[in-house]
Amino acid sequence: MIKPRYDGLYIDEERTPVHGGEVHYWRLVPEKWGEVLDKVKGMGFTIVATYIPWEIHEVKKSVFDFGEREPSKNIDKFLTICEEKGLKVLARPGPQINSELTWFGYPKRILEDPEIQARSAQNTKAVLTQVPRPIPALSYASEKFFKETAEWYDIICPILRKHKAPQGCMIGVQVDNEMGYFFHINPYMVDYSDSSIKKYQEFLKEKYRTIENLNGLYRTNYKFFEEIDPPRRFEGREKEDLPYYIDWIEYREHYLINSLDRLARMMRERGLDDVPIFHNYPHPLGPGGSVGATTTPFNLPELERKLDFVGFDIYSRKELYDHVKTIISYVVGCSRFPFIPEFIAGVWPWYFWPGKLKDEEFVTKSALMHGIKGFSRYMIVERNKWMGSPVTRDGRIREDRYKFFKRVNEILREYNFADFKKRSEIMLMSNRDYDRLEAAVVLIPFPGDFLEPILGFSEYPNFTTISENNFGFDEPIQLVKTECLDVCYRGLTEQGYSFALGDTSLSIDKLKEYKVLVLASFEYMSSRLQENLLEFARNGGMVILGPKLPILDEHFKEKHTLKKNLSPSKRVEITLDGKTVGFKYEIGKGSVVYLPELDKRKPGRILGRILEGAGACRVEKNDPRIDVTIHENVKEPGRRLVFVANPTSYTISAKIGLDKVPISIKEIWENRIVEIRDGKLVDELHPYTIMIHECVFEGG
Amino acid sequence: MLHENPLMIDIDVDQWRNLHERFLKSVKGRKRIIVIHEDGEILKFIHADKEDIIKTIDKVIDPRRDAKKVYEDNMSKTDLVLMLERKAVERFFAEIQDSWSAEEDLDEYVYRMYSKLDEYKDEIVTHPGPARENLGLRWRLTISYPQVKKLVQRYIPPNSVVVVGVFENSNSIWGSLVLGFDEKRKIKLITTIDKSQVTRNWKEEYKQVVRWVEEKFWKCSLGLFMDRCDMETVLESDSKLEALKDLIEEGKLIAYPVPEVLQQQLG
Repeated sequence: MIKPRYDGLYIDEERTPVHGGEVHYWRLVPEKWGEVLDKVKGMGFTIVATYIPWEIHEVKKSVFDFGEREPSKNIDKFLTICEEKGLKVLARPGPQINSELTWFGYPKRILEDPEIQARSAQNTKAVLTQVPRPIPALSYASEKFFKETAEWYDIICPILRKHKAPQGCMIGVQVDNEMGYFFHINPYMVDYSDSSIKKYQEFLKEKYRTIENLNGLYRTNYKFFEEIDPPRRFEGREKEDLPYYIDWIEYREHYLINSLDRLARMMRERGLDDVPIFHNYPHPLGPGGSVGATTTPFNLPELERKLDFVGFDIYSRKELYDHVKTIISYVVGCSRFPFIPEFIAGVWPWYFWPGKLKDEEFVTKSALMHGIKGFSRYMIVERNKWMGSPVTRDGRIREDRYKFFKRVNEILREYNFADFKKRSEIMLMSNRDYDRLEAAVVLIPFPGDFLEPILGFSEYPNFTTISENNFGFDEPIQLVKTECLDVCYRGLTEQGYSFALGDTSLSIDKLKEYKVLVLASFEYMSSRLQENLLEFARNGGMVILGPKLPILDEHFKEKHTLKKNLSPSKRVEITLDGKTVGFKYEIGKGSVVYLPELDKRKPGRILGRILEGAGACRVEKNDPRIDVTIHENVKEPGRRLVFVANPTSYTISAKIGLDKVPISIKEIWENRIVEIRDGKLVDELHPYTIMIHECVFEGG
Repeated sequence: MLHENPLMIDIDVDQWRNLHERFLKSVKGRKRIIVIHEDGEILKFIHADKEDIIKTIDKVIDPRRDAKKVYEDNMSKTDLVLMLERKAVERFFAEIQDSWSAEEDLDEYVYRMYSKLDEYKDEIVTHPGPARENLGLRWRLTISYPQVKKLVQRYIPPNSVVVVGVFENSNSIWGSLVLGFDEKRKIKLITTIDKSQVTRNWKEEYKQVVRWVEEKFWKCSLGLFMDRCDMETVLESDSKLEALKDLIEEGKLIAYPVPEVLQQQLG
């Protein structure tokens, strides 16, 4: 059996760190496969990932070529060569693979089939402007889609089955690719096909049980669930209007989860039942890397209840440090195996203004800094419609890139990175209910566009596209919630606290791995979350929230669960500069801290004050722009890796004070001894650099 | 014009980045005020960089006039006002998406999308300038897509390659483009000149570049080689043909080979 755990995949209880890279066999000359794989091994990679394109293997309906006609399509032979070379494999058979293929990995006939196409809110096709051809989104609610996919799986799964580890090389299978409505993230774009609407109605029925329950909430007079048409644009005016729209947003999450679950089950039924099945969400790149964009329509915690592990892909430039930090911290906070299924190694040609190798170095170190435990480099060997890989399609080496990837793998191996764990006693949480509200109140629909959305908006809902209405609340929660998360994110960073990111779909058991939860709270909060927060506090944790204490549940019905447990008799005022800034309530073994102005003040100092004595690791730093994380070696407590990042375009002389003074410090990338002055780590950080310091302490 | 499955291979990232920086511009990079309204009722009125703005209209009555007014009120912090009527935006995208066909080239589809903005000039409004000239990703060329298509049809023989090389310091390729056209003059190949082909002085090595193109790909029908500063001269010129001719005459730009039909134009 192969099982994912925090630090890697375990094959028969033996840990296999997952540091791999993508190679596309069908795009290379088969005579070169061996040579190319040797180059991959030469960089220290032990794992190869590959898509398996339905589009390429299906010659015509029900006729497939696996090397009989074109030798480059012999996936069986390719996997056998991987086995001979001792390489493990992550197989990615789709059905959707994108892969910069003309038809996104599907046979063209599938895309052209109206029965399989998704429909927009205006009942039209929903076209993604991709290169080299625009394509219509498909409906993953269509029965015909699953029937067609089953035929593909019937053909490909038996080939993969032969190569399952431990006898074979295959240690994991990815189901589909970057499933997110074909980049039609905008909630009022898709999927309004008949089959999707039917599933939406079933979703409502399961949620509300009776039509009366739904009518009571929606203030409607439906007789049957089957007559409910989903919202096709946002037209809400008051909070009582909102559940109808928010349910559509929640349904869109379920749609993705259920589709992936069904595809994964289809794989398992075809013999892939004892290898991990995983998925890669697309990189949610809002402007500057939106802090809240990792939730709806994605739902990593829920999807991991169906699949073995789930990650987000990352293709960033150095200027987007906070984006990388956000995504990695979220995956680390939520996933059972923090893995980046596609991690930048070159880019596609229509990635505009591509970065340099220095960008890839900075992004790689950022990901390691914030706790990633596995990744697959995409693409480690170049091919048609890709540029900037360390190995060219004819097997030549690009020295600078080859050397860089080799160095990364050397360090990971030499220092046993899998044995280190990032310290983060704090979880900063996105409240999925508020994120759903934000998505629900989008005013402008627009399709996905790989060139650039014509109107210039981010595909993720944000302040440029959403309603500013208060809906009867004191403030427009859909806008203020992002500000709250953002100020907490920056406040914690400035104060020297590292944290994980999570969201309110996480189980209470997962939350209990942390000492402190920080989240925005407004007039409403789901009953479940109110109860979870109380349990977390009673169990000894600290909950920091604000600017409102919830008095309503997610249906906007009165619910004072949290508030009524905050007893004035167990309340302590929190002051800063002589002013009251919040209240700390003792609850069980822990506490709830309420900050009424969480959204208005820069909360860094307030958070710093509150977190004193909360057991959260803090570093002292002479410049708030520096970011620091500490990774403890779980096997050797005296060894730490301390990452120090300068995510700015200025040189910074850093002085870092840790909780104890190391006896020696070495920067491991440059293999350089670092000065300890007055007990502090002293180092010069050039623009956009990250230093990885191995700190040895007394007794280590 | 873009083939259904072009080869986009061996592209030099540094050259590619230089081309993007010089030739592409994005509406995202502009300081924008966004006004979203429905039948005149304003639902959204913000600056995309969260700058404070002056809001002297509370209803959209004449979108083009109102966009101009918003722009003039906020000129110091605004490059562009984008004024969108919700229902029109919904219709715009619905119409363009439903016209999709698997057979249509990407550039044709995108061009139709941008052209369609003209049909919505009172509803999808930008100021200064019409939406069609402001929105999305654009190239910084004073030549339109139909003109480019026309030039290709007129001057580029089928099944041939065009290579353009732009150099810095004689031996360094700043940017290049190698475009292969198939029998229908669809772009079937996109790449850049391998930097190993120019090591001393491009004026002595351009023939080697053409040989490399022909050995690696197909027959080269047109090659244009120049220094970066001369490329700028051509780009800034109102009469590009005249500018090309002048530079050729001065020996600053080398055109080799040149299709016969173009040879006549270049003199």
